[in-house]
Amino acid sequence: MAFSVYSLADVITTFSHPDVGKCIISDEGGGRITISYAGDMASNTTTATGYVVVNKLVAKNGSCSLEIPMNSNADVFLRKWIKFLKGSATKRFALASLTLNDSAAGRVLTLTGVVPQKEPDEGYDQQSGNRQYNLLFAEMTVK
Amino acid sequence: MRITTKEVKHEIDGQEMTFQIKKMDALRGSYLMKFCAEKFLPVFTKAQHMFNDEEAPKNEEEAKELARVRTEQIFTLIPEVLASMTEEELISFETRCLQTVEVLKPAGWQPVMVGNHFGVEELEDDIKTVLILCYEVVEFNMGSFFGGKNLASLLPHKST
Repeated sequence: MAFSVYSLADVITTFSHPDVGKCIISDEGGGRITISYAGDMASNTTTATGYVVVNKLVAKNGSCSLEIPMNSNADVFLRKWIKFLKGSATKRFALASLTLNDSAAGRVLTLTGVVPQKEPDEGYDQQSGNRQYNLLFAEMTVK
Repeated sequence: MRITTKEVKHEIDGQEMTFQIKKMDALRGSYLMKFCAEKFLPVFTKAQHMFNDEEAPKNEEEAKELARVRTEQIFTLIPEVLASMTEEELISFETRCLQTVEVLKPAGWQPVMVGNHFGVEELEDDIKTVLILCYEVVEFNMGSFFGGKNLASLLPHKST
């Protein structure tokens, strides 16, 4: 029987900013990671007669949402990063990068120009949940 | 007041970085001591013989030259120390040492090791700095044990 293997534990997620340091998010279990492109890859322009022009578009930027266990090392690190960005020089603002190394699939996703879209929401419940970081990236490369 | 931290400045790619070494707690420290006694003591004894007959430097230039020569001599001893350890021993020793070190980044102090991974990118492929930091950790924690003066004299430019 043919089958394939997926393992989130084998995806090593590394977040890095030269002025803050580096953090392996996947060490404590990354929660959930969602990456989506902002733009389309193609669109159609149609005329009244039904003639179609297919537009080939380039979109490399997008958004990434990280769900991080509350008060984990990664959570503390990302808070430190956001706090630093608030007071940092503008040219140091977008230097962060996020790398997802999926060794099971042999794929490496690299997000550069990573910035927080907004600060994570705060929530206190009886038990801890995940804290969601919404990030924007300028470019994603897939190897 | 008790001194439990020590600052070390070291250049990486032409940029000076400030490291802070924290004293190990006594239990982990005694593991380090056992390890050092086993692996390093023979080499340190040798190093002492190498430097024993030298005269004290007369002026600043001589002191600088002496510091340079001694640093070079210490590097010749490193292979001997490394040869006496297995890979696992070496990695566990380095990890334990680096876990007590933090580096000053524009955003504040960042641990050099987060768990078993590097917490800063610059050090990941910088063997020399890693070894120097490990040496500094051993010197800072164990200095008093092995007769601080002799150990400190191996790196005269660091002792003020």
